[in-house]
Amino acid sequence: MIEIKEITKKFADKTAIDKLSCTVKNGCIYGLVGANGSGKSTLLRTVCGIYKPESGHVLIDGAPVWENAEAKAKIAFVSDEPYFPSGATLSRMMKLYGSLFPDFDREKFKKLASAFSLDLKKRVSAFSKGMRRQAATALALSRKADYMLFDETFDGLDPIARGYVKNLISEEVMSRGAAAVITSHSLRELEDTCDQLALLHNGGLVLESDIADLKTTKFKVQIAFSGEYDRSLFGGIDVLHYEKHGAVCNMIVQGDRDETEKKLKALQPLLLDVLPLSLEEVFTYEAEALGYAFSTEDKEETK
Amino acid sequence: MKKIIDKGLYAEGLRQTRTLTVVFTVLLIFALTSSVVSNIKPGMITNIAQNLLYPWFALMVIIAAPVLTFSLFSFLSDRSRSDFYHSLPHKRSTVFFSYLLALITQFAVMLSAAGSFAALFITAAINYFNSSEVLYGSASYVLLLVPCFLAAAMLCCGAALIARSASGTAFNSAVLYAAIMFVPGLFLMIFSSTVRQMLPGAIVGVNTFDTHLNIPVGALTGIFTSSKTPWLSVPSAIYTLSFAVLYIAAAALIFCKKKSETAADPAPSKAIRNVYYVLVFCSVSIFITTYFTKDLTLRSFGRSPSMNFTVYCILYAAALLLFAIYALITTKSWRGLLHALPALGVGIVLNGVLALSLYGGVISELNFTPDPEEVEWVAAVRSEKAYDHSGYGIVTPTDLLLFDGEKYRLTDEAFKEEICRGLSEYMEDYKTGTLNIQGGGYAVNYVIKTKTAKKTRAINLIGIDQAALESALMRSEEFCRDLTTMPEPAGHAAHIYNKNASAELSDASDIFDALREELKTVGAAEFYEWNNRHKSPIEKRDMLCISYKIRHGGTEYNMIICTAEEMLPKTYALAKKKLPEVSADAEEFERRYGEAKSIRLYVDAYDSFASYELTAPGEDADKVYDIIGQLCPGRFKSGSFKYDLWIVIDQNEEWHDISYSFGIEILDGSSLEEKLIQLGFTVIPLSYTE
Repeated sequence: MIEIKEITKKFADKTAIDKLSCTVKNGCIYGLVGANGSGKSTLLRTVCGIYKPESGHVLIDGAPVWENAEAKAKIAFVSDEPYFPSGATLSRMMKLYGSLFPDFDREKFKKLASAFSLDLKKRVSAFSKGMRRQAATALALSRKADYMLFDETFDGLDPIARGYVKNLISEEVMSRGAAAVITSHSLRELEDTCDQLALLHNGGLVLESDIADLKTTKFKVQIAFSGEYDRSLFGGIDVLHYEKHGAVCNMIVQGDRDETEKKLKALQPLLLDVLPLSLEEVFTYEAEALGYAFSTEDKEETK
Repeated sequence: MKKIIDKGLYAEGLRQTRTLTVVFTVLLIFALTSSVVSNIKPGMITNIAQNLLYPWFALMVIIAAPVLTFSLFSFLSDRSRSDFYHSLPHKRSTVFFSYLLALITQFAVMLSAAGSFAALFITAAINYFNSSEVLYGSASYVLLLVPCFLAAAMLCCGAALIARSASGTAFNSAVLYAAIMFVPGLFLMIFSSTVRQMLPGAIVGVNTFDTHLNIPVGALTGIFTSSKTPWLSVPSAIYTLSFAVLYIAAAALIFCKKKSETAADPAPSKAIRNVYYVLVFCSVSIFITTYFTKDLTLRSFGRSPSMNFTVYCILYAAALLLFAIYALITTKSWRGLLHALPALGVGIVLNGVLALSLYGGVISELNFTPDPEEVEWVAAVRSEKAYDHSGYGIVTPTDLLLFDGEKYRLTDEAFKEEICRGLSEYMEDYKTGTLNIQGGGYAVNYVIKTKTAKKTRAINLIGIDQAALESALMRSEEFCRDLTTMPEPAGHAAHIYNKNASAELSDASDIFDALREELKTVGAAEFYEWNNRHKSPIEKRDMLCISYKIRHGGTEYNMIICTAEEMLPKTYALAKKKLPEVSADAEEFERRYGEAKSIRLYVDAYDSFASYELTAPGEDADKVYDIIGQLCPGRFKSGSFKYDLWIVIDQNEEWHDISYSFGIEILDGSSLEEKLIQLGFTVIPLSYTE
C-alpha cells in the first residue's frame, strides 16, 4: 500500500504539492487527473523517492521511501520523459535494466518488445515519441514491481497501443495484486482503466473517489414545468449544477437516483429525463462546485 | 540492499567509461614516449625514467580525471537522467560510491597499462639504443607511477565530483573544478612566495604554505617552472591521497544532499549561485591583488615594483571581463549579469580584506622591534626542517641541542640589548630602502619572546656575531651540562672514518662507552668551539669522526662527533685501531685484502658530479691493484685530485671503504668515462637521483 501523508513539496518559492494525503491500495489502479502544473509529476516523483518532500511522509508498505532502497525496489516508474542513454538500443537498455534492477525479466521484455513491434537492435533515438513510450512501458512492466507509476504514459500512443498498454497494466494488477498509479490530463484516458480517480489542483487533492461511486451517485436531470419556477422548487435535492432555458431546466444532481426521481415526479413535471453522466461531466461539475474550471476538452499537449 | 557498492551499478560504470579509458590509455602511452624522445639529447646523460613522467603524463591525468568523472556523472546535468538514477533501488551513497569505484578501477587499469609500457620501454631503450645515447634509469622507478598518479587521479576525481554535484551544467562544473582543484594550491604558493618577497631575509618563522606534496598542483606548477618531478614520492602520494579522501567525502555529502530537481541548474540555489560568482571573481583577482599589494608595500619601502600601475589596471579589467563572461554564460541574460553585480561587490570587498591583511601582516612583522626591557628571553633554535631535504640527516651535538633550543632561555641583559639594537637598525634600514644585505635561510635562528609576542628572526643576518651567542650559551648551566652528555645512540652500530679510510662497525659499544666517559671531562666551551669548527675529517688531517644513529622527535639522524689527539684522545685512540690501514704497495694490499669476498671500485668525478661503478676484469686483489696502478700512476699519491677512487672491500661481512685521490691524464680529449673504458673497465654510470 502507498500511503501519502500530508506531503508538501516546494520548488524555490512555488509550492508544487501542498499538504496532500491519499492512499493507494494493492490491486487498485489509481488515476490522477489534473491540468498542467497541478503537481501530478511532482507527486509521482516524490512517491518513488526522487524528490524529498519538505514535510510529510510517503510510505511504501509502511516504510518511508526516501533513501530506502528496499522500498524503492518495489516501485517501477515510467517518467513523462523516459531516459535512454545516447546511442542506446533496446538491447543495451535490456542489459542496463538487467544490471540495475534484480527483478528485471529479460524474456518478458523481449516478448513485450515483440508485441509492440520494437526492434531490439535499433537505436532508441531513432524511435518516434510513441515508440519511446512503449519501450519505457515495456521496460517497466518487465519488472515484477509491486507499485507501478506511469506519468502521462498514454500521451503520444496510438489508440491500439493505448488499449494494449491498458490491458497489460490491468493484467499486472489483477494477476499479481500490484497497484498502479497513472497520471493524465485527460479523463477519457483513465475512465475505462482506473478503479479510483483523484483530481489534483494547485498541488492539492480536490476530489478523490471510486469510479463506480462517482458514476452512480451523480446524474443529469432534464425537467420542464408548465408554469414559472426557479431553483427553490428543488429544495431537498442536492443540485450541483442548475441551468434553465425557457420552461426546460438541466440539472446535475447528487444522491440516490431512485429517491431523487420519486421526489421530482411528485412535482408533476411536463418532462422528466434522468440520464447517467460521463466521468468527464462528473469531474467538471465536481470541480465547478469547488470553484475550479476543469476543461472537458481532451487537450493534446506537447511537452 | 544496505550496501555501499552495487555490482550492477559498478559494472554499468565500467561500461560507460570504457571507451574514454581506452582513448586516455593510448594518449598516456603517447605522452610517455614523446616525453622521452623530446628530452634525449646526444652526448648528454639522460635519466630516462624521470623523463618518461614529465610533464605531459601528469597533465594527461589531470585532464582525464574530470573528463571521465563528468562523463560518468553527466546524469546530474539532465533532469530525466537525474530522475532515472535517483529512482533506482539504491541509496544515493550506493550510486556515488559504485560509480566512484568504477572510476578508480579505470584509472588503475589505465595507469598500470601505461606503467607496464613505460617499464618495457625503459628496458628496451637502455638495451638497444644505448650505443649512441647515454640513457640510464631503472624500470622500478615507474613502480612509483601507479600509486602516485592513482592518488593524483583520485584527488582530481574528488574535485571534479564536488564540482559536478555542486552544479548542473558542464561549463560551470568545469569552472568550479579548476577553482577547487588548482586555485587554492596556486594561491597559497604565490601568497607564500609574495610574503617572502615582501619581508626581509631576517624575518623567519612566518607561517607560509608548501604545496609541493600535492601531486596534481606540483605537476602543474612543474610545467611552468620546469622542475623535474619533485612531487613524485611516497610522502606526496600519501599527502595527495589524504586530500583525495577529504574531497571525495565532501563530494559524497554534496551528491547525497543534491536535489534531483536542481539537475541542469548552474547552482542548487540563488544563494549558492552568488557564492560561485564570488568564487570565480576571487579565483582570478586574488592573484592580481596579492602582487599589487606586494608592489605597493615595496614601493613604500623605496623599492621598485615588478609591474607598473597601468598593467594592474589592465589585469583588473580583464578579471572583470572574465567575471562578466562567466555570469553571461551561466545566466544567458543581461539581467543575470545585473543580478550578479552584488556578488561582484562582495568579491571586491574580499580582495580589499586580502590586501589589508597582507599589508597589515607584513607591517606587523616589520614593526616587531622591542626594547630590551620588553624582551623576556631569547633562545637560539636550529630548524629541523633544514635537515629534511639533505638525505643524510647529519647533526652535531650542538645542532641536536639547538633543535630544542627554546629550552635554553637566554636572559643575559647585554645579549638582549645587542639583539634589540641589531633588529631595530635592520628593520629601519629595510623600511627606508637602505638595507644592502638580503637573503635568508640561516640554519640557526633566534626566538625573541616579549610579553605579547614570540617571533623568530635570523639574527646572524642582522650582524650579531657567533661569539655573543656562544658567550650567552656558555652562561647557561643547563646547556653546558647537556652539551657534554653524549647523545644516546639508537643501536650499537657506528661508522668511523678519517680522510682516507672508513669502517662499518656492527658493535661499537666500547667506543660509545669511552666517548660517554670522556665527554664528561671535556669543557663545554672548548667542545662547543670544536664542534663548530670540525665537522668533517676533510677539514683536518689526523682527525677521526664517529657517526652513529640517534632518534629525535621520531626522526633518525646521523650524529657526528669528531675526535683527534687533542680532543677526546682516548676515544680517538680506540677508534683508530679499528680503521683499515691504507696499504702502500701491491704486496701489502694483497696480504691484507687477498682473502676478501669481493672488491668493487667506484670513481667520483668532482668536476662533473658524476659517479661510476667500475667492474674490473677479474676480482682478485692483485688484479685490482694493477688496475689502481693503471689509474693512478703516482700510486696512492696524496693530495687533492680531480677524481676520487673508492675501493669497497667485503671482508667477512664487514664492509671497509678505502678512498684514494688520483689523477688521470687524459690527453686525447676523451671523457673520463671513455678513458675508463679504454683501460678495460665496464663502466656503469650511477645516479644520485634515484
